[in-house]
Amino acid sequence: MSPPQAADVTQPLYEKAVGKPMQTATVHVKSADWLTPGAFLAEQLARCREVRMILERFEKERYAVIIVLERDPEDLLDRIFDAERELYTLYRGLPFDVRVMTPPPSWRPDDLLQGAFAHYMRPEDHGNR
Amino acid sequence: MGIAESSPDLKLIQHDLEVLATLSVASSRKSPPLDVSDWKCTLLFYMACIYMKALGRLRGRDLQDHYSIKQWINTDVALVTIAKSYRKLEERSRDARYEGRLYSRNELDQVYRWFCDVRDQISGLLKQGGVQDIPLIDPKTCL
Repeated sequence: MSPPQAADVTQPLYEKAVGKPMQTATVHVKSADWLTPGAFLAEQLARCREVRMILERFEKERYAVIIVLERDPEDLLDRIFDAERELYTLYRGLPFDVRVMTPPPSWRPDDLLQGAFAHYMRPEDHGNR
Repeated sequence: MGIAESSPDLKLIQHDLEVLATLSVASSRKSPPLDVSDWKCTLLFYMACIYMKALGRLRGRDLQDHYSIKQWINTDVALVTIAKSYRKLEERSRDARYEGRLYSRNELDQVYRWFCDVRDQISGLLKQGGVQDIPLIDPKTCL
């Protein structure tokens, strides 16, 4: 027998105390309300295999999101800039900059990681932190 | 307001086209030819950027930096259709300048197409706004 779930335990107590059945409702919380721009983009793009990492950091006057790609096929760029446009609605008033970079294979992320926190990073780049 | 003020921007675009043509010829005359695809891409982006500035002036909008342009292009109904082309062009240009990236023929063709999207939309809006004698800027032969 599985252990009782929270609602199973709470419901009889509620009914006894209030004298009527407990009403439940599902409230949809738009995830972006809880995410920074970088985390929002990571959620949108992390499954794209050309994405090497998505970093975020504070710069002098704005929030910077850096998306590092292995290749930049046009369909991926379209997807990124569709998501970027959403940011302007979701984060109205927040100054931010999205940089989409496609560096050469020899590139290492060391400098970029200074002062940054990563929302997504491929396992092969972990050793470079 | 604005029509006369758009003129210096349009002249600057023509100047950039001449620079691009000069660069293209000079680089091809080198032996072996010098790959200047990075600066070709960058010049196309700056020409697109100046088109945006010209429209900004016409509409009394002070575009001080690239961030203001990005915000405007992503939020104005008349401009969102070219937002992706502009941003793709911008990020390729940033890669050229900061990452030393060079571009293949196909990639330059993409860059040209994105530039044309921006040029055509902005030229149309400038014309609608009363700007006369918008020069025809076609960098195809320089790429």
